Amino acid sequence: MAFDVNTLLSAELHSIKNQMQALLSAQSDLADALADHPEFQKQIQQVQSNGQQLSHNIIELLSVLKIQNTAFEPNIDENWLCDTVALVIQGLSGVGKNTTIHMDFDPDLNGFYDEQLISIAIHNCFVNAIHAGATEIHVDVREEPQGSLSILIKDNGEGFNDIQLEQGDFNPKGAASGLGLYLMDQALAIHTRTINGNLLRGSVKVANLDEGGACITLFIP
Amino acid sequence: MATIESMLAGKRILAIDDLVESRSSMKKMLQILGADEVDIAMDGDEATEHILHKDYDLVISDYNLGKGRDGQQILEEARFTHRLKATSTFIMLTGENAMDMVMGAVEYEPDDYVTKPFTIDVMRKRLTRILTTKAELQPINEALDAHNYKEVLAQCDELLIEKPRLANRILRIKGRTLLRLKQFKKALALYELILAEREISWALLGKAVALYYLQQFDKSKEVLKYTIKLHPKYVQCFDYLAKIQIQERDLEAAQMTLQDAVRVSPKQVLRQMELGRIAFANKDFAVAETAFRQSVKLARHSCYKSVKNYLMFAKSLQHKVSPKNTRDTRTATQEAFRSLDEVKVTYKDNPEYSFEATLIESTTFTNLGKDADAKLKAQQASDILDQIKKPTAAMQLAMAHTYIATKQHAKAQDLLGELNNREDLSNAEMRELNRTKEEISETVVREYTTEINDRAIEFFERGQLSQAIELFDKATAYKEAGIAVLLNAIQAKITYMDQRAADPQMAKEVNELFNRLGDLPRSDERYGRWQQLKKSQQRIMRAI
Repeated sequence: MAFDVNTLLSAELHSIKNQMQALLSAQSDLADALADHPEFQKQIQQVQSNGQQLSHNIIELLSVLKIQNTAFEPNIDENWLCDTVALVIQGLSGVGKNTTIHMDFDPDLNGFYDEQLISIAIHNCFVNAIHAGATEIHVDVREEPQGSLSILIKDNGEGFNDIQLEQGDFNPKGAASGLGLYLMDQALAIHTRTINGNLLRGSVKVANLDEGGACITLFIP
Repeated sequence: MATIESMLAGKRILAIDDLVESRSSMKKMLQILGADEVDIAMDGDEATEHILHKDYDLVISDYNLGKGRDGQQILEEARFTHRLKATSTFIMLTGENAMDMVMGAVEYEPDDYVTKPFTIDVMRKRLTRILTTKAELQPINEALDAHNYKEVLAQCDELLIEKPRLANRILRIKGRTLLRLKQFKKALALYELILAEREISWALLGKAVALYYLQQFDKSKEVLKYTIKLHPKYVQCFDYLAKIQIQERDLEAAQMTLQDAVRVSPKQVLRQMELGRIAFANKDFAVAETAFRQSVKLARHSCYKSVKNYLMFAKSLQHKVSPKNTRDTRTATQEAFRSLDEVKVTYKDNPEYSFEATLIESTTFTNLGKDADAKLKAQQASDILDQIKKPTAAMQLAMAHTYIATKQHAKAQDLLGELNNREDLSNAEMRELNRTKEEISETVVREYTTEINDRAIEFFERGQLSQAIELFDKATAYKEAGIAVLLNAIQAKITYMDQRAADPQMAKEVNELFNRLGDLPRSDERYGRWQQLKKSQQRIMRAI
C-alpha cells in the first residue's frame, strides 16, 4: 500500500520539529555557557537566528498540512495575547535587530484562539514589516462586541503596493508573491464562531496608513 | 504590578525536568528572576517525594519526563492528595501546543502552560502574568483550600464583577464548585450560559457531567461524543462516557470506550484500573491483564498504589496458566507469584490481603494441575481466615470456592452452612451462596464422610471410643452421610454408654440418628444390624 503523502509528510515534519526544538534548547544552553566569550557571540546569534527561522518554517508547514485536512479543528483555547506576542518576538531572534516592537495593549487582555495559528499570522506580519524596512512595529487591540478581538499591527515601513491592496483575496500567485498573506488568511479563517445563529469567521484586512506604513488587522471572532 | 523578583522571593519552588541541563538551566533562570528556594527533581518519583515532604508555592514541571510518569500525572497526584494546595501554582512546560497534549481531569489542570524553548525574558513575562492572576484569584483559592465551598461561590460572584478579564477562570471554578456541591441544575444552567457565547471545551465537559448526574444520560452522551470529536485528547470525556455505558449495563461498550481513552492516555492509573475491572467482568482477560499490569507498574510509587491492582493482575493472568508447560504458562505463573509475593511483603500486617493472595496462589496451582500444592495453599488461606476476627461474607465465599476447586467439598459445605446462618448477606452474596451450593457434588461429600468413617472405625476397633465418636459426629454432620456411617455412629455411642453409663444427651443424639435413618426395609442387608441397635437403644432409654 502506498503511503499517504500528507501523513508521511506530517510525521516527518513532527520528527524534524522535535529535533529542531532539541537543537534550539542545546543552542540556548551553549549560549549561556559562552556568555563570557564575546568572540563566539556572532556565530551563536547566527545559529540561533537560522535555527529559529527553520523551526518557524517547520511549524508553518505543519499548520498548513493541518489546515488543509478537512477534519482539522483548531485548538481554540483561552490565551493571553501578550504571551503569544512575546513568544513570536522570541521566535524572531535576530531577524529585524533594528526593529522595535511595541505592545500597546493591556497585558491582561485574553482571548480565545488557536495560539499556534495566531502566532503564525503575527509572525508573518512582523517579518513582512521588517522586510518592508520598518523600524517600529506597534501591536494594538480593539475589543469587539461579545469577546471578539481585532489585532492591529501597524508599521512604519514602505506599506503595501497597489496590487497587494487591490487583491481582494489572498490566493497565492506563484512563489513570487509569497505565501505570507495567504497563510495568515487561512490561519484566521479557520477561527469561526456562531453568535445568535450568525456565523462569524476570522479574517485579515490590509491597508496603508495615512502617515506611511502598513496596517494589518487580524479579526478573531 | 508587583515585580517578578518580589513575587518569587521566599517562595518554595520545585522544578521538574528529566534532562539534567534543562533542570539546572531552569533553576538558574529562576534564581536570576529572584527565587531563593528552588528544589529540583528529575522524574515523577523524585517529584512526589519532594511534594510529600514539603509545601511548595510553585511547581514548574516539564510535561514529558521520559519513561516514567508525566507532568500531568504529577499534578493530578499532588492535587488529589491535597499536597499541593489550590493557592499553590503549577506550571506545565511543553514542547507542544498545550491542546496537543492529553487533557486530564478538569479539576487537575495546571494553572498555565509555557511552551519550550523560552528565553528568560519570555519566562519573566509569563511568570509575572501567571502569578499576578493567581494572586487575584487568591480569595477563591483560600476558600477552596478551606473546603468552604459556599465561600468559594460567594468569592466567585464578587470577583466576576471586580475582574471581568478573569471571567473564564472564575466561571470554571464556579461550575466545578457547583458540581461538587451537587447543585447540578445550577451547574448545568451556568455551563449552558457559557456555551451560548462560546464553545469552550471545559464548559462542554461540565455540561455533560451535570447532565450525567441529573441522570439525563442520552443528552450527556451526545455532548460527550461531540466534545470528543472536537478534542480527541480530552480523555475525561471518555471516562464519563464509560460511566454512562456502565449505568446502561453495556459493559462491552464501556470497555471499548476505556480502551480508546487508554490509547490516548496510557499513564493514568485509575483509568487503567477501571479498564481492567470492566474487561475482567467481560471475561476479556487479555485486556484485563494488560490493564492491571500497567496499573501495578504506574502505581508502584504513587498515591494510587493499591493491593487490588496486584491481586487483580494475578487473577487476570490465570487465563494463561495451564498444566501444559508452555512459555506462556511459565511466564504468567512467575508474574502471578511475583505479584502475590509483593502483596504479602508490602501488606504483611494485613491478614485480609494475605488471605486473598494465598487463595489466588491456590488457584494458580489448581490451574497448573498441581493439586497437592493447591490444597496446601487452601489450607494456609483457611488458617489465615481463622485469624481474622470478623471475616466478611465475600471472604468466606471465596474460601468456599477455593475448597471446591481443591476438591474439599465437605469443607466448602461447612463454610456455606456458616454463611447460611449469617444475617448480613447482601442479595448478590445470597445469589452467589446459592450458586456455590449447587456446585458442591453430593457424591464427593459422601466420599469424604466415608473417609472420616474409616478413620473412626480404626479408633473404635482399638477401643478409643471418645475419638471414634468425635469423628463419627463429624461425618454424620453432613446430610450426605450414608446409612453405614449413621449405623457406625449409633453403634459407637451405644457401646460407649454400655461401657460407662447411659447419658441422656447421647441417647438423644442416637435417637436423632435413628430418625435420620428411618425404617430400613427387611430386604436391606443392614436390617439385622439396625434392628439390633434399635433394641440396645430402647434398653438404654429404659435405664435413663
